[in-house]
Parts: sequence; structure tokens; C-alpha cells
Amino acid sequence: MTNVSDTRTRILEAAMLAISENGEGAIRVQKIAESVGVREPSVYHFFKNREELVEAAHIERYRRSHLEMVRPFQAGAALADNAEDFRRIVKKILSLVYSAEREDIRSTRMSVLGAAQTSPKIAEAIRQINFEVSSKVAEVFATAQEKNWIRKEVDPLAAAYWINGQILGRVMAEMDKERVDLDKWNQISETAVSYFLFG
Amino acid sequence: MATGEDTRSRILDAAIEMMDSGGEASIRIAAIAAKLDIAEPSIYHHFTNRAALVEAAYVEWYWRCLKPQISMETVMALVDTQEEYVDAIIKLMTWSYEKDRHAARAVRISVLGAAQRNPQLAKAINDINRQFLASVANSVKVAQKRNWVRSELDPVATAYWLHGQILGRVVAEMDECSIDLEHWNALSFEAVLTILRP
Repeated sequence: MTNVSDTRTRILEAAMLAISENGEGAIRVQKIAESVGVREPSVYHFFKNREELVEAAHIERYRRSHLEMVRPFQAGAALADNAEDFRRIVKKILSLVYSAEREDIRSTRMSVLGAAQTSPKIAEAIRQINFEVSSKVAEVFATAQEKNWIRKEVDPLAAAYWINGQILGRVMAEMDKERVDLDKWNQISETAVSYFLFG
Repeated sequence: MATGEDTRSRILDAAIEMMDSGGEASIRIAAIAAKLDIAEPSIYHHFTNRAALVEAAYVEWYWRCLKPQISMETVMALVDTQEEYVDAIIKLMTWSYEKDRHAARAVRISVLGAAQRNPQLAKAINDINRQFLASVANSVKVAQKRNWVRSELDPVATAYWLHGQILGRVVAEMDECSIDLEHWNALSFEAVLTILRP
């Protein structure tokens, strides 16, 4: 038997899929209900209205877009044998974070963060996600610090937030590709990250 | 008597005020008309429809939060040595990160966020970014000529990256309880100086 929280998750999954395929405008509550195999009123049992469903789906996309990058980072760091390996992992993850395929999800981040500035409810959800994600990254940094792979004077949590913040600057740059050479932008960001981690 | 331009800017003021407290969805034409004691049709005289008003308000809001920055031309005219240049950059950044400029930082994220779903707004914002960051890019070029900044840096990419620092600050300050913002600032200064210094 599927329980209540499963149904909510499945509705959310369907909404996220619809957003990633055709954008937020394409979300139809009725279609989502159909694809999950529930009746339309059940959707409204979990989400007050279409707007609330869209909002929840954006927040969940925001969360996953971070975890998608944190997990390989954690795994890569766990497999690293020495400082050189660790450096390579950091570089690799950054290039994934800035990859062209992730432009849409980066744009979602900016959009959700934008909405959070005037909605305390979204801001609180985002604050929790940022903390969850940054703490995980900070933990990896702290372990690497113990092994002398990164500079002692770096505050792991501040570093994790700072790196996360780089992505917003990337979104602003890629909004205007005609004007900004993104490879050059990446180089600057990579140099900055590797300098303060490794000196 | 109020001129047309006055009315237009008062409408924008009212729309920005609503957006500031409740987001884009809270903009109501009727409420603006009531507040300014004008008839609804006079709003439509200045803005074709609600969407046009919302867009104009976002653009104006974004402009205002960039405007009070000291221009980089002024800074470049005031500094004579690399040390003074670095000092000026750190002062400008310290000022950008000040607590009472939180609203100016948050507005940038709000407007850039809205632009992700609105191509026309994105175009308007790109134009403002180009205009505003051209002076930063120029200052990087001037500093490069004086050997104060690494010659291999692309001036435009550097300007966008520098401005990105301010956007990243918002992520950190949304969670002031968990993160030490002084540490964050120190990291950001260090990163900027690393990038710029030859």
C-alpha cells in the first residue's frame, strides 16, 4: 500500500519532471494527477493550489541540484589518496558545476533564490537546504584539512558558502553570452577557488 | 501640477514598494491607483498592461540598487599606486558588503531571479549589466596597463566575476546564524586580490 507521503512525493516528482521538460508554464494539475494515478482533488489535498505545487517543485529541484554535485564530491574526496588527487577532484566537480548541460538548473537556482527574497517561507526552506548542503561540503573540507590537503586557515563552512555563491555570478554572466567569454569566466573562478583552498 | 513623468515615476515607486514587501504577485493596479489618488486608466496611459508595469518596476528597482556605487572611473582617477588601487578595491567591497546594503544586494537577486523566467526582462537587465560593468571592465584594463593587475585576465569576464561576489554574499547572509560573515568577507577579499594581483 502506498502511504500518504509517497503520494505527495510522486506528485512532486511529476511536477519536477514537467518543469524540467517544458518549463513551469507547462504544469497542469490535471495532467499531473493523471500521470500519478490520483484524482485532481488529491493533489489539492497536498498543495493548496497550482502555485504552491510549482513552488514546492522548484524548491525540491533546488535541493537536488545541489545534492547532485555534493554526492560525487563526497565520493571523490573519499577515494582520494593524496593532495594531488583531491585537487583533481575539486577541479573536476567545478567543471561539472559549470557545465553547459546544467545551465537550466543554475537558472532555477537564481529564480528560486529571487523568489526567496520576498517570501519568508521560501527563504526558510532555502536556508535549510543551503545549510544542509554547505555543511556536507564543509565536512569534506575539514577532513582534507586534517590531512593537510588544504590550507589550515580556511574556515570550511565559509568556504562552502562562498563556492556555492560563485554559481550565482556564473548565472549573471551566462545570461549575456554574447558579451562574456564563459571559458575565461570559469578560469577566473577556478583560479580563485584553487588558490584559497590550496594556496 | 504633477507632470506625466512625475506620475510615471510615482507609479513605479508604488509598484516597487509592493514588490519589496510581497513580491511581484502583490502588485495590484487598483491599489496603486488608490494610493496615488489617480484613476486606473491613467496607469494604463503610462504602461500598456500589468506585465509592462511589472517589468518596468523590476528594471527601475535593479537600476536603483546599482546606482549609488561610486564609479570606477572616479576610483581610477584617485589612485596612483598599486597599493592604493588594492586599497580602494577592498574599501569598495567592504562598502558593498555592509549590513545596511543588504537590501541592495537582495534586490539584485530578486530581479535576476525574475529575469530567468522573462526573456524580455533578461534583455533589459543584460543591458544594464553591460552598461554598469563596462566601467569596471575599463578600470581593469587601465590597471593592467599600469601593471597593477594580471595581464592575462579578460577584463569583461573579470568585471562579471567581481560583481558575482556580491550576489554570492546573499546566499551566505540568508543564513547569518550558521555562518560567520566576517570569515566569508575575508575569503572573498582574498579571492579577489589573488585574481587581480600580478
